[in-house]
Amino acid sequence: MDMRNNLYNRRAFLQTTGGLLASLGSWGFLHLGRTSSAPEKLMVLGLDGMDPTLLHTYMKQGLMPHCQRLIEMGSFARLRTSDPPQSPVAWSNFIAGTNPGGHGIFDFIARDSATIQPYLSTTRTTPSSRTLSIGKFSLPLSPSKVELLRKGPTLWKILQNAGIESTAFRAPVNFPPTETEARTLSGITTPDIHGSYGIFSLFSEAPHLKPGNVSGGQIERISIRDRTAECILKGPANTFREDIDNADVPFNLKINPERTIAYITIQSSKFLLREGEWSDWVTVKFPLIKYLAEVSGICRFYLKQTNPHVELYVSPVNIDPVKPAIPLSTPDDYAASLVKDVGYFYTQGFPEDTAALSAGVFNDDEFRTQATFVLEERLKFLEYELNRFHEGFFYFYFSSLDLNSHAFWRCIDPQHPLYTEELAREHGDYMPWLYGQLDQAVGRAMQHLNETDLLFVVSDHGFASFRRQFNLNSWLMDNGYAAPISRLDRGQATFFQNTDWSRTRAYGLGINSLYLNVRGREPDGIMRPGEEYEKIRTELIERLTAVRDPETGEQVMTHVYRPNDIYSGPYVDMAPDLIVGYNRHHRASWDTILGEYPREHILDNLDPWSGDHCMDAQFLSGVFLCNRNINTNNPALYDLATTILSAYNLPPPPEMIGKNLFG
Amino acid sequence: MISLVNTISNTLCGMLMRPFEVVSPWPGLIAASFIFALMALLVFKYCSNQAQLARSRNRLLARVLELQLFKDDLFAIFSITGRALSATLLYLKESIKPLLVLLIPTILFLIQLAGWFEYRPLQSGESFLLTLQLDKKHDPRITPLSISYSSGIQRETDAFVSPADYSVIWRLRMAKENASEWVRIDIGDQVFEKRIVGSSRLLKTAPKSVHHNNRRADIMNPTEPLPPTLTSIHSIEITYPQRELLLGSISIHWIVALFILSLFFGFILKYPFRVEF
Repeated sequence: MDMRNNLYNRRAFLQTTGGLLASLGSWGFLHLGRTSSAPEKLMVLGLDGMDPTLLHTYMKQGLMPHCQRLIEMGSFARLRTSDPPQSPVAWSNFIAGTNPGGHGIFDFIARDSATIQPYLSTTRTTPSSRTLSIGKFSLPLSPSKVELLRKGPTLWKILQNAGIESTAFRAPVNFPPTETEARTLSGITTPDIHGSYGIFSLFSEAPHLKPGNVSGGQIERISIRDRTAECILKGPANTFREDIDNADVPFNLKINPERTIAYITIQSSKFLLREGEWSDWVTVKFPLIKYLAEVSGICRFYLKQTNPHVELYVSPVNIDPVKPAIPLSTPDDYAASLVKDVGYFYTQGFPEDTAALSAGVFNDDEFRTQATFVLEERLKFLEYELNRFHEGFFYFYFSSLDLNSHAFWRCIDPQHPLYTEELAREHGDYMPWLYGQLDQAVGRAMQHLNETDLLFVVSDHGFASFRRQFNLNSWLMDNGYAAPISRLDRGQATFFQNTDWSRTRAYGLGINSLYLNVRGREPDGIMRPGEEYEKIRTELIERLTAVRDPETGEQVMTHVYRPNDIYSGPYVDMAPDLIVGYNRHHRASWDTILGEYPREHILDNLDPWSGDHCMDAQFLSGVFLCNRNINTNNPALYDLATTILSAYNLPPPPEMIGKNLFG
Repeated sequence: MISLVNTISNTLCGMLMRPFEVVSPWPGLIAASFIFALMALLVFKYCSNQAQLARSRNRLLARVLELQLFKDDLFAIFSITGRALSATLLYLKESIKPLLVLLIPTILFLIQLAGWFEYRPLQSGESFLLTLQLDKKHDPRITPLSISYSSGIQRETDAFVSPADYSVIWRLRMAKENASEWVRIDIGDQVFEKRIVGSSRLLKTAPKSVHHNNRRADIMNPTEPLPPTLTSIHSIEITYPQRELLLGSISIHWIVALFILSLFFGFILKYPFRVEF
């Protein structure tokens, strides 16, 4: 063969091949991580609170055929949850691929060590540091800050940066949303317009109802004259005002002579409601500075009853997804586009109004109606997102099983103090129905997958009956670890207002967190760091795990952990001094969580919030279902991020501690 | 007189918008902006001293340029600013006459366009309120009153009677999208049929029908007026949903869009029509 021809051919070959390789390289660069073995679609359905025992029970009853099929295709495993097994902690484990020492979320409630003031652990608001006072107004000269406190890596951000199109719908522990080009909508821990987890309003004519604040709500007395009542919908704190008064909005309620219909006018919205009816979403603008600044929220009205007394429930005012005061999504307009394409939706993180149920504002039927609405709304969005999901990573979250298990466990546990046969007959069907609905959602997801695609069905923890509540702070007080200012006022004060810090060595704050009053850390700390600190910790571990329930003889706390025993990572120092693992059926009491000292140590839980998971993690594994076999029967939540990244041949960052379940 | 004005403007705008009764509101808005720009240009051309207008505008522009040139000379700036102010006043003086001529047609045109762009027709499944405001001589508690409706409408609530403001309200639902549904109000021996518009297209809605004695309300609600003999009813109102105009993902008010588009067309058309403004 002629050498020149060879050369030419080689040069041409190199040019052609080089060009081809270059184009493949650029395509590869755009699709980093998507090798031929990577799935085209990887879907994760986050079913908060799905319990493995209930899952198997309902599968056996034939209520969950899609989950059954998914398991037969691949695998099922009990998924090790977080310590403690609280949703913000657990989902942070999933998102960051590490334990709380790596992401900094240890409980729903954290405390400022400088003031002992509690705050919600996942978000912090810092007001403007410079303001200008003009009359009654206080104008900010620098921006206030709302920051997400979850640290460490974020799974979808890593994927998106690697060129994997990612969507995380109602992403937990993501408010405000982590900056990313992925499509994300904030989920649990997103506050309402007041900055809380949801404050409902009840406007009632009933004379026996005491107006004022209740946990998670406020009750207002109204009086109807000439069939009309003027009401005030409380708005957020108006930080533009010196007195930080609320930016309230008045509205008008009229009732017809027969007392069957109410006519409500609020700003430009007008609607009629019959007794027992819910309104659509209503947009309300809360004025901060008239004509110049306002905050937009959305809420729903429910005319509970008209006879003999008018009672009108208004849902927590959610942040308006079309005009959010604080971003709810990435990109910013994603939330608004959802409204345009599908309709308004609950933006608060915990939309099922368990506070209204606990306060007796909702009866079981009413709560069930509202919870079903939340589920139906969520299913609508699942359908919408599935229809436009063609490739990449997709995470979709459901809150229904978690919040309804909290509310309705008393209907399925005959040993719960609130259980009755009648209750079981009336509402015992709701839990299986919900599981069936979520199974159908799994089925819908499976329809959108090809053979090589991956589907994970994940829950962050299981559930157990919450029968007995333990007043940790009361036990600490009566066992010499805490002291009151006045023994007579014991049980009256909240937020440690009656605590004599000069004689208090330990205090419980949050659901599973126990802190020592350390000198140099707490403002009135008395415990010396070092030997004394360790001695008390060891003593508390021994004594707390020895506590027995006088009624049942059961151990109240099965484990009390030092953070270094269960956590690793750069944020271990932020952890509580001890993490309390309650025995099954036991949990911290409602009073002790925020620093109260009732007289009893342990008593029945008589709140409708009758199921829980803030107990020892060993009892509360979640579920992991997958359409592929995994290589272990003991996976953990923090393994999933590593597994997902590995599916795309992406190296997990060093902060992630999990292993690849397909490795 | 008002009825005649309403009839003419209803007819003219109806003719203008009919070809644009499609799903998107934008073609209709663009057409309306074009017509408005044309109308404004013609008014300026024939109702102003074009030469003087051009001169005063050019003087104003010159003052602006002077400010740029002499921005380091404080005394010059003061002097130029004063002269720019007087040039502005002169420009306004030349513009005031055509603006005054345009004022009433603009108001009438905007009122007409509101029928298409302020609210949208109802869609299938949407609820709405029908509010009947009676004349103050008629107590809604005792006035014999009933409604009937076409097959595409469903009633969701009984009548809500509010004696304090002489109103009666029902909640109805559009069961199927149809441009020609109706509600018939029987009051004593009088009858009025109110059209209910259901569609996903750009169709004209008439949220409020008023009694002809109320001049201001009559101008503001030119379509479907109440007949003069129907003295017992002050107004009939339907709560149509507000129309949302989207430019991509940005919501824009239709008047703002109309203004911007009209300016755009005005600048384009000023050259072929040789109009100064």
